[in-house]
Amino acid sequence: MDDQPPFDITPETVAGFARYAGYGYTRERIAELAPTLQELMAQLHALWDVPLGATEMALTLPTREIEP
Amino acid sequence: MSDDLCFASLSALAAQIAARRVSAVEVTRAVLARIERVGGALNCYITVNAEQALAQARALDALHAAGTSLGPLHGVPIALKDNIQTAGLRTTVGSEIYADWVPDADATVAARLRSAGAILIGKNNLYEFAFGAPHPRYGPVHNPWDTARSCAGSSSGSGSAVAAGLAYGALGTDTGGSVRLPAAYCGVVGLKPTYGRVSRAGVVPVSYNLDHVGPLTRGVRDAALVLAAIAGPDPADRTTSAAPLADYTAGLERGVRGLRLGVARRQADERMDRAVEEAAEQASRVLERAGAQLHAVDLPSYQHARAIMWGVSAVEGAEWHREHLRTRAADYHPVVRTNFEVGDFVPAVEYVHMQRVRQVMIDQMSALLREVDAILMPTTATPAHPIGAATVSVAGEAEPVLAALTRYTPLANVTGQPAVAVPCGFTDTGLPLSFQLLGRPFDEATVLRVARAYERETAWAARRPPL
Repeated sequence: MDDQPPFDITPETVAGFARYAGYGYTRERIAELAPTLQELMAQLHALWDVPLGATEMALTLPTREIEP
Repeated sequence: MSDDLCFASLSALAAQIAARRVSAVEVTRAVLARIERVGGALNCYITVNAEQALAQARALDALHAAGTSLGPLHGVPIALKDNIQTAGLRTTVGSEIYADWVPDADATVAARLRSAGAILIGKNNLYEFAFGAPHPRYGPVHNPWDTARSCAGSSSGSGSAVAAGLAYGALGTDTGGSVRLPAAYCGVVGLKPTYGRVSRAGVVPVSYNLDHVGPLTRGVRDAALVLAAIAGPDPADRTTSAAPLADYTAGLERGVRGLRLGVARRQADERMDRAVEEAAEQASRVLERAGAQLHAVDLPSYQHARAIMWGVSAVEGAEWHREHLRTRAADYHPVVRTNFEVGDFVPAVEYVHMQRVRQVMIDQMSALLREVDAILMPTTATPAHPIGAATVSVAGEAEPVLAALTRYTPLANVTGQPAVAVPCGFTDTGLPLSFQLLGRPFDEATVLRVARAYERETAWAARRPPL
């Protein structure tokens, strides 16, 4: 793998994923979604810099309480 | 007289009904008449439940005459956001897809309000599926303080109706701020309780991890009364908690002397409207004069909250909406459709990463709330923007409306802690301003107590919109 993962949200790259996942998006619809998806993924990539240490993922479970 | 009755506080009205100075039927007729008069200009109701509400009022008056009271909400008209299911009453979710849906059962919160004696006066307009924009079938809700302005969302109609005296309280839902944002724009109190404190059973979801149900009211005591009626464990919602319920009204008048209040320090790159900043600063000074100890605090990761709220909601929403998006995509507002469809393309690894960052933020806030009892910060970066605006000017720079709007509220959704939006003044042009108080999980009593201490020292709650 490259040091930096590809961040190339185009109708072509997303259409490949949609076919793999079995989603029935047209190429035109994917082109419409691309700008919003680009913005969302840019914000999610910014989260990669947050130090996580040994933190596990937050879970929504029955009677779960978040104690101070 | 009729308008004075409509603008009475929920708690004052309940006392009048209990003392038989006014009947539930008289109150319901007064509210229905005011809805008839000004509701159309605000577009805050999708369904006005006139017939059932009057029948309910007559039944409640009969009970009262027989010496039975169902509690502090007996005979009080309350509205529900239209994503909360109501038995026998249309629940559109603000959508074309559910435009004619009449559920056969109440959501738990609706049933609890009925059991507490509340009259369900109607169903409030909202953003379609509580996520992004109003569907053109229903149109935007107008702000009672300036009808050319937005009420924000997604509980737009709930905020507008309560501010305009068209209900004594309303329930909204809050995934990234959707109770507190309309409360801020409309100048009312909006409470997002702790995750797990109030059942979401029977509420059409956006995000299983981030959705909350909470009240919008014209006063802090009123919010406490509504919370008391709807809070508590529910077998139908496995995320509800068995944590003990507080008496939410008992400590409201205790004041803030000795309480440690964290005041969020403004970040170097953080833009907000000057009026918002000054109002929040003045609010902290009011509380300091009332005896609170102020401590400047940093919220190191609050700026991540919006990304997590957006990403988690998109993914979870895409899953819930999968069938509708396949078969009825054209029936969605284009913005709402896009908001959900992008969730299909967020890798699962990113979803897990968001949940880990979320846990970091929960841990950070927990550590901070060992040092202070509550945290004060603005609710929104600006006052209400014009309806239809794509951008808003924040401290002289144009910014997308949604980015400015959701700067501060998603944090409490991501951490699950309680947060209450409190009116704290008006701009020179008469638009409401608001700050929010964030507290420890399951400690709604403290944030309400601080909010009430502020409310007692100021007179904002007495103002009425020009309608």
